Amino acid sequence: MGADRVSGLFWLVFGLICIYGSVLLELGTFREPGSGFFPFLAGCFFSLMAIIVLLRSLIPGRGFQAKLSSLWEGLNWHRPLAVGLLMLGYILALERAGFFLTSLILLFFMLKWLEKFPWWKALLIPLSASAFIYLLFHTLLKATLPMGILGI
Amino acid sequence: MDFFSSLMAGLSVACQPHNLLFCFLGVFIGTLIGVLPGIGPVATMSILLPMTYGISATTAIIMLAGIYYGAYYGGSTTSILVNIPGEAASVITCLDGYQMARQGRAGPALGIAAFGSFIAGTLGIIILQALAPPLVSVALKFGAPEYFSLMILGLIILIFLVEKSIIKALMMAGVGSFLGTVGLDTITGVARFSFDIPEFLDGLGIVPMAMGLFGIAEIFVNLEKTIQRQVISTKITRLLPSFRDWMESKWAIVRGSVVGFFLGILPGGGGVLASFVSYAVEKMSSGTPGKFGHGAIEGVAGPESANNAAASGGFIPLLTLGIPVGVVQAILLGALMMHGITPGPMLLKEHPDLFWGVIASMYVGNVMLLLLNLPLIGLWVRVLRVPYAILFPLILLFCLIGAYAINNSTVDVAIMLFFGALGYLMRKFEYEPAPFILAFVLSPMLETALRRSLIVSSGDFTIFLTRPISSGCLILAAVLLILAAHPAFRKRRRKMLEEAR
Amino acid sequence: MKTIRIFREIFFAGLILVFLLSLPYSTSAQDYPTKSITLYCAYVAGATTDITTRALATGAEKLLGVPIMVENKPGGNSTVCASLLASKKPDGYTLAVVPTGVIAQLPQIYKVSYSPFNAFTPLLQYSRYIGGLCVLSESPIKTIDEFIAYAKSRPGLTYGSPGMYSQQHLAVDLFAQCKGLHLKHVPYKGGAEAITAFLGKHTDFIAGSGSHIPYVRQGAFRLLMVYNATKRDPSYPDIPISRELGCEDYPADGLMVAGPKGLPDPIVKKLKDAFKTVAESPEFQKLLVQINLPYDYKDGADIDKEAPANYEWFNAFYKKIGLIK
Repeated sequence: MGADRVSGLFWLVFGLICIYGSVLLELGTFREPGSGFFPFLAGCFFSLMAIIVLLRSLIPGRGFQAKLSSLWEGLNWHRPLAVGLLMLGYILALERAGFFLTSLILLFFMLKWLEKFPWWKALLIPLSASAFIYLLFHTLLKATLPMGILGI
Repeated sequence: MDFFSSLMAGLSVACQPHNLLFCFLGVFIGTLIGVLPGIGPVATMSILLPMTYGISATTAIIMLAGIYYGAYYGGSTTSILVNIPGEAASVITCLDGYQMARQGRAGPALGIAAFGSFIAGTLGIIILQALAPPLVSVALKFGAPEYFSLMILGLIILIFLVEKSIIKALMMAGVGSFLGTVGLDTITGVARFSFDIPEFLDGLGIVPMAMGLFGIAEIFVNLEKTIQRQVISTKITRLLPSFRDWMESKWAIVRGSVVGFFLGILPGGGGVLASFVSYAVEKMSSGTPGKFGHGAIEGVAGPESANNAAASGGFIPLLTLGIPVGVVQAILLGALMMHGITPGPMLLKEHPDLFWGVIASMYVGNVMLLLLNLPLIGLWVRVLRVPYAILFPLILLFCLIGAYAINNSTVDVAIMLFFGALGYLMRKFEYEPAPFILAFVLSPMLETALRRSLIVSSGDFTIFLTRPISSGCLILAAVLLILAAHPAFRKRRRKMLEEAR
Repeated sequence: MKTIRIFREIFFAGLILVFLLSLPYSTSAQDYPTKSITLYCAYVAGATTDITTRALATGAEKLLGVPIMVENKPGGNSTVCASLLASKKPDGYTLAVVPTGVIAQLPQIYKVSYSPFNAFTPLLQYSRYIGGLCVLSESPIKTIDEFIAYAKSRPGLTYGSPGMYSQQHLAVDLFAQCKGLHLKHVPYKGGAEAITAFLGKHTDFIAGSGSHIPYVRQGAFRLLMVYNATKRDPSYPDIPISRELGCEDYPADGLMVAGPKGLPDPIVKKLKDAFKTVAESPEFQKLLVQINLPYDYKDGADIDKEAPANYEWFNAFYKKIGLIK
């Protein structure tokens, strides 16, 4: 399947969902638009564009025709995915475990497992970075960083 | 002349040792905050606010103002170095600034951003001094219909920003517009698409969204390539802009300053709109539009000048009428009130030392910022040479914390991550993020302006055409639209696309 | 092979994540307070509420001995902040300054994530809002009676307010109904926006929410009537209040410091004492005068007592004006 076909389809489906959501909010009248009026227009507009993209993808030679698999050919897609998941974990754990601990662990994972750094580097860099950021944000800028159970 | 005598009086206030000290403190903190992605002047200013109890009002405002315009200087740094906009107004700088960095021209990019900011900031203050009252009355004339037409104009300008497929760009604008409606509807008070998440009631955050779409996405894209390939050219050609760079940028700086200043006066206008418009203006007036998006120095000089000029412009309504154009000015307003000074039309008469002292300190602050930022360029350039394997985890951490620090909420970090993933996929499938962001920023204002206008006019659409400023903007928009469809323009676009290859 | 390794890594990362997530939130009931307290403010930095919040924080810090960090959580006419507060643990480390309306009134109009009487522990109220109807000083209208006559002859006068269904909007609306006027409401986001539009003459008059006072003092606006009030404003003894003119008035919302529901009594007592002392201090009183907020103290327990009656009143009120069914 061509890339444009997939993306066009995706945006079209998303657009239809948005249109539906907008209708649920009041549409109002043309002279007195309700809450759903504008989102409805926006949704219709980009759905229309999505249809055009989709149709264009059916014509050979127009649009971005690269095959899906070719988009990631020769590229290591594991790394962005792993980093993304790590970041997700970070977000979930941040307010419970506190900034220092979570940052330490995040950095450690990225350096040790993804980048295969030796142990000492994978510990030293996160420690110094987390400490630096802590000093910078908390002490100097007085921004509030989430404190976890360790109180740091 | 009155101009100079008041300036001299102001300078004598601004150059008092404690004022100088606090000015430096302010711009220093401001630069720091600007450089750090995510966290912005608002968070820091509000935290430092109570600490200003003990010092005089003038000194307090000098420091707080310094934080504010200092942040605009620093904001371009991460945009250029690692494609992460430090704040919404720096998004556009990513487009060409980052490309310049990849070509080994990070130094000139940072340099022209600093110089441009200085020139624009200073020019802005001069205009502020000279033309404050008449400008304010023009700004006040902007009511809902005028905002509507201005936003339409802004959206049309979007077409000129597009690099690749116009259809896809329009679609991104549509999606951006839709997402701009998330939150509490001002007119009806109804919550739209907030899924019971309280943080969504104020809309999706533009800063985490921009950080994700540009910065995190870029990191994801870079991660795909194996480590051996260096992603950023370590061949550093020079640290400061060359003579040629200056020649190319000089008009961009001037145009950016003008555009930025006027847009900054408008409540709600601000740095984002100014930087986008400046970029479009540069692209439209360039003889070689194809180089934009690939490291055109005007694409950095213009927008950076624009957002600094907008910062200066934003002070006008505050100092002359006591009207804040944005949250930052609201904080300054609060600071004044805390010190027992009621800002308003009488501020100049009742507290001339404050008024002129602050303005003079802005000149001083801009000089300090230039002196602060230039030597740092060498430092930043060296940061780029750190191996990416170490660099990207650190960048990610700064982004994560920075995003959190905006509102002390993990929701913002989640937004950043989500749009990071989305931006990554968008890059893969060849969709552009710039129209998305622009539409996201402009559409809510457009919609609110439209509906307010209709309330006032009781559903009469001719209100947009009967008012001079409003109809002027609409006519300009129509002209641009025709230009875009015109064969000459399309030929230019084709030429531009070829040049880009 | 490589894939298996990656999955193993993800598995271990997941294990650690589970461990981190199972860590409890920190709590400590004895010797309160032992760490810094977060005080949310329902309005943007720089707003009058924000200024008072920060003043309270600075004062209470000294009494409680721990830092109090103020965080602004504006939006949704204070419902964002309220909902956030309601979701926090009642350990005394998260408090907020919110209008008293979050208990009884706002949940009826806005969709909030908490249930009206079960969400907060009010500590104390320290002030309340008063509003004023103003015209530009260049206008020929000098008194509220002239205004009424003018409005009758010109139906459709526009006015700005800080938000849809804000107290100011509803008070002016009540006034309009009472006098038989046809006025058009233009909602803005906050008092500053409304004032900006008014200064540019894009609305005919304004439903001020407190931020209009500097302009009245400096002569840019003319105050015609005060609403959200039970008696005349001492700084403006010549200006009538809505009730005197025979109209029903929207009772003013108070500003209170509150915690989530279920705050333990010893903590409540400690906090109440601290904040009360600060509120009564001469510095704070002077600040209130400077930003033109009245001092109106009410104990948290009283706020709770009045809540059900308020709820009923507003329920009937909203039904009457057609806001809810």
